[in-house]
Amino acid sequence: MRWLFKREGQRKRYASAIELLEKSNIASLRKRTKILVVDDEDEEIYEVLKERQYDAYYKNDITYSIEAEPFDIILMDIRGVARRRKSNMEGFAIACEIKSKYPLKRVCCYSGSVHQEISEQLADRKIDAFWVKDIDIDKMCEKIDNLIMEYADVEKQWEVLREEMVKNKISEEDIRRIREAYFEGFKKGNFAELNIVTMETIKNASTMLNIVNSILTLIKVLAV
Amino acid sequence: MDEFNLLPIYRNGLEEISDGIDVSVPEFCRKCCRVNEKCKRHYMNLAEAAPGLYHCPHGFSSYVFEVDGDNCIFTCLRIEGEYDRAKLMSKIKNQGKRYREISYPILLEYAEAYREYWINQNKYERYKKFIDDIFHDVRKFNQQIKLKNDKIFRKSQKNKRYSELLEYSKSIYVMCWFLTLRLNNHDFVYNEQLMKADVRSSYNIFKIIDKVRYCMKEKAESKDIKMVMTAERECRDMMAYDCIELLPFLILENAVKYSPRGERIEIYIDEKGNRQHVAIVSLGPRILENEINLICEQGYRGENAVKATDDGMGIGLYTASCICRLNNIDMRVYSDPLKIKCINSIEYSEFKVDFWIDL
Repeated sequence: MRWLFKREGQRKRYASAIELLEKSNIASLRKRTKILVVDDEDEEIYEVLKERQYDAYYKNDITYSIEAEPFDIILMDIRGVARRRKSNMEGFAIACEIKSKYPLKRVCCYSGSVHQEISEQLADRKIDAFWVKDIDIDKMCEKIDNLIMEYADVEKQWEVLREEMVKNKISEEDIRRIREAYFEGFKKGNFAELNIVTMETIKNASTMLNIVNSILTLIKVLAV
Repeated sequence: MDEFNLLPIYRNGLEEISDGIDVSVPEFCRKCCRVNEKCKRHYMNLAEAAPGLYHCPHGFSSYVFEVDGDNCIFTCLRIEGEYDRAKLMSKIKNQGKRYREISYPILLEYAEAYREYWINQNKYERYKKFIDDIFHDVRKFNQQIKLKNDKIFRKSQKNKRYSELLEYSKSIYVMCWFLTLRLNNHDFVYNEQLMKADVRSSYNIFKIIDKVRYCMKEKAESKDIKMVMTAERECRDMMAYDCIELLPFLILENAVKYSPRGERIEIYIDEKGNRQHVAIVSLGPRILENEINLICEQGYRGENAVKATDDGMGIGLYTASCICRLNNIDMRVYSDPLKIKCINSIEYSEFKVDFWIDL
């Protein structure tokens, strides 16, 4: 983690990240957010996204959650996906796994029909969004834009990190210190203080990794 | 699959015994069936045994019968004249009434009821799977039509016949949208959880009503019904679940269905402060005073509405009220107590549905 905070030259580039967030418009965010479409039947959603200037990628199947690692937003068809896993939850099971492994990513599913077991779990908000397969194209793009905006939102990213920290039993006092350093880091473009605080307070590697990922994400999406 | 067994039943794969609706499983058996070697061997043998009555090592009766080619085992039973009383009574001390005796003919009846239930349930599951597959395909093809239509629309912008193509494209879009709406309606009624699965997004009630009006136009015109929409001012967007699009459809579909020929359906939209008000007024079968509070209950249809048409299941207003509840919309239904018309001895009066939406 230290390497990230020590490069003085880069700090300036990140300095006005929050300011950029306020100014950033969805058209530029679309080009900076990698979207993976997983659909066993056709590439049409991917093509629509490409036409509308999204940075979209396509896979006709996915077996391991790590395959989603390079992407920021994952759109997953439920039926016919992750067949090799032989789960009756199909694409939904792997979508949940991706969300749990990479909580900062935005994961959503779509399908033409969904059985009761999945509907109940969808209502439990295990993933970020769900829509029916024949949703209006404009509506779908609006929903994807919302996911992008959430993904590029410092406050929303912090909420996810906070949840992770609570799960890992980090004390409220430590969370408050990390929060202060996290937002200050973005304001000043200097994460040295956050570096010190996290080293002192966080012992869990995955939480630390998520903080780094969150910063990298916001830098990549907002400041590059 | 939910189970319907009147007597305790042994689950082959799970090595456990489930309670019956009529007779439950004695604690002794519940504990022993997994750990006691004699019990385990007994059930292992029964899994392959011929149909008939058997005795368990502790004196209870077990009954094996065939369902769909597999052995089904009712167990922990006290079948009159068949179980070993001396062995068994110590296992159910003071609980004789709870694990009561049943006669052999009753046992056969219960087994037959279970077999029938199982077969029907299997048929239902297969049918449900079939319907799910159809829904999946219909939605898939509908989406493909939408996507192709979108491509045609984009690529024909420089075409000389652009305005004509635009009209076709609009009609295709609206038809596809309407199909989505009909499928969503089905999902909302049979799989309500699905509608709560997504997060809220922005919708404009004026645009939704306008689209529904366009879709219903043909049906309304076939009855010579005019749909008039008045908006006092520009409508702002609201945040709602996707099922919000169903709401005007349910009310307008009812209005067209129940309006007599040649009538008008009036739609008013207004915004006051942070509240939007939508009113849909039509002439419909008069709802009696004692019915008005029941009209939004599932399966309930007013007396005059039943007289007017058989086409209805009493789920339209119920579904509308569910959607309103989900989206925090205040919905009120009025039916004028004074009749305006009487056609074929059915009384008609003004019917009004009001929606108050907080922005």
